[in-house]
Amino acid sequence: MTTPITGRPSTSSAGGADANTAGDGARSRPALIDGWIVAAALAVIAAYVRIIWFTPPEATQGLAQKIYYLHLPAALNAYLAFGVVFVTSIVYLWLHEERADLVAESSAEVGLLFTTVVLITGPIWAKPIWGTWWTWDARLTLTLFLWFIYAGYLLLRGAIVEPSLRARYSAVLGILGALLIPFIHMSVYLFRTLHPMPIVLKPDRPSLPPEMLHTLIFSFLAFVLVYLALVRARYRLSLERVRLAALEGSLEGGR
Amino acid sequence: MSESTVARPIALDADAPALPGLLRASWLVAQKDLAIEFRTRTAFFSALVFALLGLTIFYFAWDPTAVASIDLAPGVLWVIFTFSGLLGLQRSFGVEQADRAMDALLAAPVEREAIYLGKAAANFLFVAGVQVVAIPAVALFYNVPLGSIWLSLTGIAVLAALGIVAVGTLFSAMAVNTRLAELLLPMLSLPFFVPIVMAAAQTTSRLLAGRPESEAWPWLRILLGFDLVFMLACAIAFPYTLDE
Amino acid sequence: MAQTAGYYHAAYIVAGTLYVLYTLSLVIRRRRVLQRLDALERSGTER
Repeated sequence: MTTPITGRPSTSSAGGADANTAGDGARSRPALIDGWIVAAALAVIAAYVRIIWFTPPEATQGLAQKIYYLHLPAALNAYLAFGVVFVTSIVYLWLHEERADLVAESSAEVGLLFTTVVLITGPIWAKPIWGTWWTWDARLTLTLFLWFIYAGYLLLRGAIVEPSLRARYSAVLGILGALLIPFIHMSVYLFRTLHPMPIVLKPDRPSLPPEMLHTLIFSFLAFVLVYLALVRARYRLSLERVRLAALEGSLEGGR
Repeated sequence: MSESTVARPIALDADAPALPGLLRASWLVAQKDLAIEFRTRTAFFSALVFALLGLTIFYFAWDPTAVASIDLAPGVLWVIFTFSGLLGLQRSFGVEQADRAMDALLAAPVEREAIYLGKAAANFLFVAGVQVVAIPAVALFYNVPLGSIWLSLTGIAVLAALGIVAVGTLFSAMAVNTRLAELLLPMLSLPFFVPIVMAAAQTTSRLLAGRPESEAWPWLRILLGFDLVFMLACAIAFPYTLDE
Repeated sequence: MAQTAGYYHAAYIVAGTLYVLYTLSLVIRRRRVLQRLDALERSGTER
């Protein structure tokens, strides 16, 4: 019947505790669960509600088609996040602005999250529609490579301790990764045109009736808000980690 | 046994200008690397043996009644090419680790791009050397008439090696400064190698099947574009990876 | 049509869970960093 909504629980009380437990009363730290995250959570809940109850299911595919409202916005955000990584990487190499590197780091992590959602919802959608969990569909394959690039980026960062070296190397990878994407796209596209794979149904670009299109746009906007909120939160975490590392470094230097 | 030489500056021609031209400097760097490699030859033979072992393992993992040799061999050839290439790339900057040889290299009056070009050239010869043995080995083990397409195959091998070496040399320079160098180099490089392997394998398989060369052309265009873009991008990015 | 409902539920639950878990991970990681920062600052001011 009706699915239980797995919206985001409003943890503003827990987030408020974050600020209250700050040891130094003179410096109040902003809560991680801030207005942006609450707003994003509400937007997603609203989108879920709209999708589940106020959008008609599609005739041929049944309820599984509604996965699309989750899958496509996640994919767009995954690529948007990588665009941000690309631009901030260039900015970092050009201006040596540390904040650009921290934004890149944040966007990469959030981007990995969205890419993972795409790669999971994709097969869950594909199974009832196309009859198989995974086909080397051009877009999904490209997204798989995006996942590999994100994973490599974050693992590279994890393997370097020195901050400026880490930032420089990550920026190089961010730029090269972005250059790779068009080549993967071309290769996979050429591969698929030469090796056509049997497809049961091809619901690629169904002409969407207005209610579905509106729901899709609504969902997309909600998830862009999620992207922005999460990157903001992650960025704040980055700033604090930098401060921690600097403090630990100076204390060790003093002994 | 350390593979590096005792750190000493690159010997410069007494009549040469203070800052050697880019190509000359690159060639000097390449010569240095090749001299090191030639002296011990361990890395080259290791990569060679690895390639042959890989071909053997693939053979025994294969059911000849299910897949025809001519369908399997191109894929095996280019995958093994990639992995044995990675072995060579690992040592590319690995040799500079001992005796802080990298500092000596950086102290020499060579443009940073020359270091990249030189090492890439040395890596190219390394990879090509392995291929000279591996390609006939594939023809032998898998009984495929690679000789009939040897000219095209050489062209493909050159383009593929250029791509692998362009990206791999840069990532080798980066990986060597991290904590997980041996894991990081393959992990970073392989996504970039995919278009290369795809183009090479698909082209080889098409040519072996006797299809007209025009069918291979779209793949070769991608491979060529890849080489141009990444040789340029990695050469530009290289100075950013140096720790100075 | 009803047969595809299970997939639809699974996708929404899994996706929602991933987003929530990630947000929680941010909260937890931040809490750890803030605790260590506080400890360092306290020991720093004591000396």
